This record gives sequence, C-alpha cells and structure tokens, in this order.
Amino acid sequence: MTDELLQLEKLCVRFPVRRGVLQRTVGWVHAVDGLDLSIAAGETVALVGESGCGKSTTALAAMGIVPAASGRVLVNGKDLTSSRGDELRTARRRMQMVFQDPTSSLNSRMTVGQIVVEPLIVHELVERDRQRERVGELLSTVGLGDDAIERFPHEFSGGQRQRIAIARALAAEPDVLICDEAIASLDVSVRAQVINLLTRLQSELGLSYLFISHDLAAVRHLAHRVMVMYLGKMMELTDNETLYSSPAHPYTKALLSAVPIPDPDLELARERVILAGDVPSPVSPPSGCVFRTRCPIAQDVCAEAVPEWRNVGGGSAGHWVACHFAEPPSSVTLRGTSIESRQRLG
Amino acid sequence: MTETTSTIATSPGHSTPKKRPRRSVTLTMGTVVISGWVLVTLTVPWWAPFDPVKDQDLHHRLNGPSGAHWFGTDKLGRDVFSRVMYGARISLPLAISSVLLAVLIGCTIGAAAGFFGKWVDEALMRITDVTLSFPAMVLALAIAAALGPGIRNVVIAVVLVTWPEYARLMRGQVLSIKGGDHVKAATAIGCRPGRVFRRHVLPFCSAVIGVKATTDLGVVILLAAGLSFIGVGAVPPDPEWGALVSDGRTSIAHWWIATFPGLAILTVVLAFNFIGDGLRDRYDPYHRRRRPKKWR
Amino acid sequence: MTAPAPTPAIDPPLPAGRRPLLEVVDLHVRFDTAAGSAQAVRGVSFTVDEGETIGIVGESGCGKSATILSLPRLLPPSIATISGGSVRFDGTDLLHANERTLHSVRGGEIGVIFQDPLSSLNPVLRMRRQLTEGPRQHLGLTKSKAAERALELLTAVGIPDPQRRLRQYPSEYSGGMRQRAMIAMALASEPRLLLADEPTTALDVTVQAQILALVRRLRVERGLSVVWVTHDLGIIAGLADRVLVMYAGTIVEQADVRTIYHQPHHPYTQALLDSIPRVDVRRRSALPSIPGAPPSLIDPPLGCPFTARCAHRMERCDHERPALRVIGEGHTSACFLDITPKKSS
Repeated sequence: MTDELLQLEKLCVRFPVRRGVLQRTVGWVHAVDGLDLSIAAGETVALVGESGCGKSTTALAAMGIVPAASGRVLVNGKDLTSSRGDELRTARRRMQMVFQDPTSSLNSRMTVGQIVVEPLIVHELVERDRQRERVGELLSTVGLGDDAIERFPHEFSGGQRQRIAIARALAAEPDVLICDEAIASLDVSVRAQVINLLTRLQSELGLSYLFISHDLAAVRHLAHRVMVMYLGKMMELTDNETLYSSPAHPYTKALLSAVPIPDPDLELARERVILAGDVPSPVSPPSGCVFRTRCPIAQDVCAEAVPEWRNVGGGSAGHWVACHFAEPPSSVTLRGTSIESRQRLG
Repeated sequence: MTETTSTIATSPGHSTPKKRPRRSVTLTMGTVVISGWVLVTLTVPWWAPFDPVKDQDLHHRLNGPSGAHWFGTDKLGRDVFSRVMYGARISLPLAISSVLLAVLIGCTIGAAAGFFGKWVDEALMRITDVTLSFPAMVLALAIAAALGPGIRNVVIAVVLVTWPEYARLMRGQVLSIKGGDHVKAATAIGCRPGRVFRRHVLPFCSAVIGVKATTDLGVVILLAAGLSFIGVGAVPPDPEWGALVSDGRTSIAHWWIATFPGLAILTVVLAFNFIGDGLRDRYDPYHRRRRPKKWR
Repeated sequence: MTAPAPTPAIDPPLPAGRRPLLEVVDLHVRFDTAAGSAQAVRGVSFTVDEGETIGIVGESGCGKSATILSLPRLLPPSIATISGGSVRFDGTDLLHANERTLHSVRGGEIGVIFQDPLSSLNPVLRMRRQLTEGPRQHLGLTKSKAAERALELLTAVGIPDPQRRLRQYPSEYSGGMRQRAMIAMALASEPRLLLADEPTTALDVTVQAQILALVRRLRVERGLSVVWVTHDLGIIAGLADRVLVMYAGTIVEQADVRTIYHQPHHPYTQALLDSIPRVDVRRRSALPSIPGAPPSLIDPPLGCPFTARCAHRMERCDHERPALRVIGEGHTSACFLDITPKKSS
C-alpha cells in the first residue's frame, strides 16, 4: 500500500516500575501493547479511550519522543524506530503534533513569531528574508493576524494559543498531524472553532490526522475511522458510522452509552450500560481479556484466553474487534444507544 | 546583577503574569546598601582620607575613633576607616568572581547531568554528592591550606566548595523543565538537542539560579572572611575584611579594630540575603508569599 | 464601570405555602487579581426548591464556580470579595452569618463537592476518621454509630469492600473512588442541599456515568436539592430540572430543562447548543461556532456582554444591558429580541 502515510506496526511501549531504595526495576507497565494502525492520505483516524489506555503514549511513541520497546513506526514507508539523530529529525518532519494544553506547549519566553518560525529555521525550509512573510501566511491560515508576531503567548486566549500551536506544526509542512487531546482544554464555544479549523485545513492542505481524544462526540464529528483502546490494547477498529451505530465490543458500547447527550428527552429515555469499578492498574493487568473485570458479559473463557483481533465483517473497511463474543454487526442491536431508536424518540 | 533580568516565570507551563512592581522593603534596602558598597569600591581612591597600607603612623597607634580617624587606628597606626573602605575592593570582587565561577561550573555540570541523564547523570551526581558531604568550611580550609595563602587561592577554595549546590539545583531545574510540553514540542518540530537546551530549557533556569547566587554572595563573603581570619586567606597588608577582623581579635580592648570591618561584613551579607529573599518572593512560585488580606 | 442593572429574582410563582430552600438575590463577587479587580459575578439571582436540581452551565470564567462557592462562603477571602447581594438558606442569611452558624451549615445542611477531591480530603487521616467527623459533630452521633454510618455511606456510593477502604488513606483510592468518597463525605451529615462544582470534569466518561447515576438515585431516595455547575450541556440535560445559563458573570437565560434545550431564547444559549458536537448524530457540515471569546470581566462591556459575538446584535445592545425578563412560563432571558427564534436543528 503506497498511500499509507503513517503506519504503526505491532507497536509496544513499556515503562519500568521501580521500587525500593535501589530503584530496582521490578516490573513493566505495558502502556501500549501491540498496536496496529495505518493512516492514509487525507484521512482522520481517531484513537479513543479513557485515561491510562495508552492513547497519548501512542502519539509520543509515533513521534519518537518516547522510545518504542518493539514494533515499527513507518512514515512514508521510512522506519522511524531504526533512525537516529538528524536522520530521525528529517524523517519525522512530515509528522507534526499538537498538544493538549497550548499554555504549556508554547514557550512562554518566546514571541509568537519566534515560535512559529522555529520549524522553518531548524529544517531550513524558507530563506531568511522570506521567513517573516511565511510566518504571516501561516498565522493567517489559522485565522490570526500579522500583529500576533510580536506578541507573547500569554497575551492570547486559550483558543488563539491552540491556533498558534497549529500554525507552528503547519510550518514544518507536515502530511500527518497528531492531535493529542488538542481540543480538550478549550471552552465549548471555542472548541467548535478549532474543530472547524482542523476540518478546513484537512480539505485545503490534504492533511491526515491521528486524532487522540476522550471526547467521543467530537470524534464522531471529525473522524473517518475510530480505534478504541483499553489498558494499552486495541479493542475495536472500524469506520465512524459503523462504530457509533453498531459497536461490537462491550467496552465500546459502555463508553458510548456513558457520553451524555445534550437533549433531556433522549437522556431520560436512554438505556445506560454503567460499568462497575475503575480501570485496573496497568502494572498488573487482568489475565486474558483486559476488560473482563468490568465487562457485563464476561465468561470464564475471558480470564483464560486473550481474545483474538479479528474482523467480524461489515463497515466500509472491515470491523475489527478483540472480544470472544463479538458477533457480526448485523445481529447486534445496541438498545438505547442506536441511532434508530433515538430518532424515533426525538 | 540579577534583578535586571527581564520577565521571569519559574514555571514555563503557566502564562507569565505581566511584570508588576511589587513593593518590598527588604529588597529595596538590600539594593540600596549594595549599591552604596559598589559605589565605594569604584570611587574610594578619590576620597579615602588615608592610604590603607602605606600610611602608617606609629605615633598614633591603637587610637580610638576620633574626628581624624573615624574608625580609629590599628596597631601600626593605619586608619581603620580607610582600610575597611579599601577592603570592599577586595571582598566584593572576590565574592562576585567566586560565585560567578561556581555558577558557571556548577550549572554546566548540573545541566549536563539533567539533560543527558543516564550514566552521565549518575557519574556527575556522585562526584557532586561526595563534595557536598563535606562541611563547606572544613573543606575550604583544607583546600586553602593546601594551596597556600592568597586571594586567588581563596577564590579557588570557595568555588570548589560551592559549585555542587549549583549542580544539584540546576539538575533538578533542568529535569523538571525537560519533562514539560514545550520541550516535547520543540523536539517534535525537529530542534536539535543543543537548540532545545539553549532556547527551551535554559531560559527557565536563570531565575532560580540567580536567586541562589545572590544569597550566596553574602555566604561567600563570610566564608572568605573566615578563611582570612584563620590565616589561610588574604596575605597581611591586604585589607581584606576577614583579615581586618583577625587583626583585632588579639586585643579586645581595642574593640574598634575588629568591630568596624565586622559591621561591614554584616551589612553586605544581610543586604545580599535581603535581595535574594526579595527576588525569590518575586520569581519563585513555591516561596511566593500570599498577599496580605488587607493590602494597600 | 457600569452600574449593573438591577436583576430582581424572577421565578415561577411557588405553590402557596412553599418557601424556596435557597434564595440568592443580586449576588456580586469580585476577584482581586494582579491585572485588576475582576467582577466575576455581576448580579445573579435564583432560587432552589426543596428536592429540585438546578444546573448552572457556562464556559470557564463565566462566574458559575464563583457563584456556587460563594454561597457557603468558600471562596478564599484573600482574593475574593462578596461585594453585594443576599443568600438565604432555609431562612438563614449566609452572607452575614457568623463563623459558628456558617460552620454548622457547611458540611451539615449543605454538602459541597469539588472538581478536585483531594482539596476536601485530608491526606494524613484515614477515611474512617474523615467520614465520621461530620456526623459526630453535626448529628451528634456516637463514635460507633458514626462508624456504622460511614460504612453505609461508602456502600451507598458504590465503593467495593468498604470495610477495608475505611482503614485506608485517600491516596490509596483511585480518582473515581476519591470522588465517590467525597460525595459520601458531603452526604454524611444528611445535607438538604448538595452544591457540586464540576465534580466529574476530571473523570473518565464511564466513571462520570457512575457518579451521575449515583446522584440521580440519591435525589430520589433522599429528596436532596442539588445545584450542579458544569460546562457540559450533556450532563445538565440528564440531571437538572431547571437550568441557568451564565455568561460573563450574569445569568443570560433561565428555564426548565426542556425549554432550554428545545426552545432556547437567548442567542448565546442557542449558539452554545448548536456548537457542540453530539455523539448520537453526525453532522455533515461544519459546526456552527461562536466567533471571538468572552469579554474581560476587569472592564466588562457597558451593554449586553454577548453583543460582540451575537448574530442578532442590535444597536441598543451596545450601550444598554438587557435585564432578565419573563418570556414564557418559568422562562426568563436577558435579551431584547422579541420573538423566540426558531429552534435550530
């Protein structure tokens, strides 16, 4: 496949657990455990899950900021995990990242101009005398005026700061933008502005997105395909429509039914799947299927065997699920969260 | 000095509040005193009533304070006032150069340890720990004694005992800043490690180091004076403050010989401490005092 | 500075003989910040009836948290000043009550839960001690009775293995469990009113769903009144009886939950509802967004605070601040627009 811009193959990231006076490594947290994902040109793939599911670690590992324990990260067919130094820097220019909190991701001692021009300088993309002009172009692309150049990030609102962070990422002329909870810290009314900006940039520049979020409503609006993660493992992967209308994994079902809907009548009529307890500690994940401790349909087999990652069919590009009891989507009806029943109510 | 550093936020994550003038009595007092002493070191030859070394007047030995000799005279009939004023020309540059050197060495080592991590960190920090485990005065004394007396050797001794604290501080600071989002972002856009350090880590370390360095100026003056007092520091005719106090120690009856240089040390040390505290209140969020309930 | 327009409490008439449990009239809160004095709350009035759940919704900086935290006077006095208005809880004037009265009301008849549970849990005390202190003080229970009650409470909020959990410290609890423990603590003294300041914002959706289910149950079982502050319109839809929409320190619209979501009047409420992506429907077009950002509260605009971002802006909006006025049964809105704009879909 040549149009796959970013490919993550069997990606594993683990962190040591240190204990005691000597800080001896007593175990490993498998933050990301065997992730397979590819993103095509112009596509938005969302990675969703709750805190500690490994979605942000995936982003950092894809960028090479956190080392991968095993597996490969391919950008335009080039393996990043085997590159070092300048080779790595050049290879990953085509992949850029927007962080959750623009307040901390922008250097508060630098002016907006200095921040946005930095990728141009380090990658020598634009000649010196054209740099200022280019920064102006980039800022206007994200909806900011030229006057921003001389000012500092703290003089801007949260939404504007996130625009600055996006402009900086665009300066490197990327093909893939990794958005790690990029809209989570923004206010409701500003969030829509940034979502629209991302959509517009995709159609204008043909960008691909790896959109990492816990906000299932925003993902529904933005993504072409969605992967659900839990405790570092893949749970479900399919296209947007299929995932939201006929989810096959019990975790996805619970997740979707937990998202509040801004409509009092629908909220009242909803059937909720309320999971018991919390996400288990990643230091000692459950045996077999990691979700079994909270799963409403868990059986004995779930503790014994790790469910296979398999295609249950349906969807435009397959419907992959890691559950022993996932059925082909045609026979699954998710009462209470399926679109049809809701529309009837509304 | 450090108070001229522009807008400083110790934590890079938070937006820098606009620099606001916060009145601090102690900071102002410290600055005034130190400015006075700096003025003294620059201009003393033009107005000092006597030469601190050559003007010996054996007829007026050990005279108490009077109109002619404000601080009295010592056992060689030298004017204590002139000697104390000239002493500032030795003690202040000595303190400043020692601290600057210690900052330079300590911060380089600490930054290397924090930035590169792994075995570099382990190796450098073990050396630091070993040095830190000796009491500063004892170690300085040993070094000064081994090197022999002289101002230059005092500087070396002082630098050797003070750098580890800067190394520790710098390492901690670099480690905490290195984990921040804006450093990850800089790496992500493709900055080389050198640039990441220079542009995205270093600027956030200056405040904390500056505060410590200012407070340390006072400590170093005390340390150098201590060495001179014991006799391993400044060589006799030099009117270093510690040496002056040492001169007076043999004859308590002639209290003015030790008291006035002692007071000079006291004012400088206190003033540097005031400035250091004031700067910390202003720039260091961990020690920032809550604004009093009823202000104004 | 503008003289804030008087905003009398306009509320649906209560059935004869019923008094509201909480009555807030013309509340003003000021924050003294480095940049100047910010008028965080500018004349907020509302009531909470026995057994009623009020949702206060708005963006960050709209004054929703300042409003709710100033009711039991929990704002830090070093930066926040309640500069006007009155707060009556069951007849007691809370703003002028002495420390003693205040103390018996807080943690007694009023329970408060925050976004960060660690702010109300003491890290060096075991949970048993923290859960029994309230009931012993406010209800006069004996030590053993209080301990029994603590066990009941932890069970009620859905903490598994409560016997063991009572012996633990807050740090040994997970995030969701701490939140539940804090709710248990707030409920320990059988409060009549629960004040919630974005308690689920930091939690995962599945844990948030647990907490919301718990609060819904408690409301029915104990007839608890709740004031729930959040920026999430979804949570409010499933929880509140009545909704206050706040913007720039003022209430811009107030109505029962159905009216707010189905026939919003104020342009801000409409725009807010339009701009949120929904998990149940996929919009093919761009999200309608609100341009710009909320105004500064240090020097708030003279006229309607929303005018700069409003699609229905008129000339008078710039220099005249619209007061809340009745536009339907139990429905008030601070906007000059005459007609109820059509429900957008």
